[in-house]
Amino acid sequence: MSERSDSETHEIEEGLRDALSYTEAIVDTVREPLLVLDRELRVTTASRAFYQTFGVSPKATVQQFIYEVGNGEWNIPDLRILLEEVLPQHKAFQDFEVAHTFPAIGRRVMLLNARQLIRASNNTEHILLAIEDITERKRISDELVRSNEDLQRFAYVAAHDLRSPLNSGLNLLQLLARQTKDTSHEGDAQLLDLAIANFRRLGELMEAILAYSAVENAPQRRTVVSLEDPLKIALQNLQHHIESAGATIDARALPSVSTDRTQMVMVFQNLMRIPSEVNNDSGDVNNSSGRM
Amino acid sequence: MEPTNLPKRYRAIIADDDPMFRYTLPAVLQEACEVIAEAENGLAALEAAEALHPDLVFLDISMPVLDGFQAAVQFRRNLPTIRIIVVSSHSDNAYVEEAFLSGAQAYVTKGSALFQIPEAIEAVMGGRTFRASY
Repeated sequence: MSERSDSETHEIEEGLRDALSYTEAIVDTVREPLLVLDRELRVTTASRAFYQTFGVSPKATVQQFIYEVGNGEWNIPDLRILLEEVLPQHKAFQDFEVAHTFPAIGRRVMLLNARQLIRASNNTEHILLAIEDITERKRISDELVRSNEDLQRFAYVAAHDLRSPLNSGLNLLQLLARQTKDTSHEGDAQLLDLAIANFRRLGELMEAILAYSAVENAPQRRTVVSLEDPLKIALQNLQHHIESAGATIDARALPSVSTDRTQMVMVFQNLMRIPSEVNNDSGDVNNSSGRM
Repeated sequence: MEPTNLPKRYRAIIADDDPMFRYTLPAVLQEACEVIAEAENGLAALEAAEALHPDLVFLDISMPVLDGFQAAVQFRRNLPTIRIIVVSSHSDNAYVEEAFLSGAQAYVTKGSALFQIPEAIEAVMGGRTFRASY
């Protein structure tokens, strides 16, 4: 076994230092904070952006266990999950969102990208951790969402509150048109018709605003409905009438169909009008049974 | 299409928190109904109905104290012979469904559909349900 000469050892060390300087220069140029961790999760390198963003010094960072960097402020539960569970399984991930309150800089929302770097030649393993601070972006995005929701609510309330006087105005004009139909001048009638048409148009605009801003505005809803459900509701609604008529309703097993439940309640109620016969001479009312 | 042969003027109560609507509706009803009382909320409508025994009640939905849905449930439970016609600004199917599930027999929206109320009256007094088309 040959041993390396001192000069060969020196050359190798110089090469490693060069490579390290080269790597650090690249890392320091990148805008996002970067950390390089060894397999024991100690920081081997941190970028200048990391120090500047998180207000920690190299002394408190390099060679420190990641969770102890900056007096333990990186002891973040989600980061632990990421480094100890996710990364060993997947080797790399992107856009892992972490929110944390740092004592020096306050609450930050971060997107983490991480990758395991394994060098087979010397069996070293490192983790490259890139951190994107999206706190401001998220704040603006959340504010936009809130603002949109507030606008929608305002539009809905405004349109709803305006609908009442609008309908009143429309109804009064329509009444006036009906009551003066035979007595008004043609010109006056035309003016009234124009006013009514404009009110109707306003109403349509209001409905459009409401439809746009309403949280739920479903058109007629067809779903699979067991017909026993609307029948039960119809029977409840007509209970008094059924009892008064002395009628009995014999309902057999009903299928499930694709329909609008409300419509079926109405259909059953209309179908269950109690059939009756009037005896014209005596005025007595006889009930007869009918089958549906 | 307005019905031409209504047998009598039905006795009705109007329940709506909008005074302008309480003023307007009787003019629409004049041939079909005699308005025997007005109420600003569902509870007042129930109390008036218990005292006066109308044939039908016109219920708004959004009212203070007791809204139209809750009032309709109470009417169905305690005064089941009184027909309920819901008259509302809401045109959403969800409101229509809730009205019928609460015990109303007809649903008419304020605005242009209001003049279908005579048809609604004929329908509910004949034991049928009615929903205004618009």
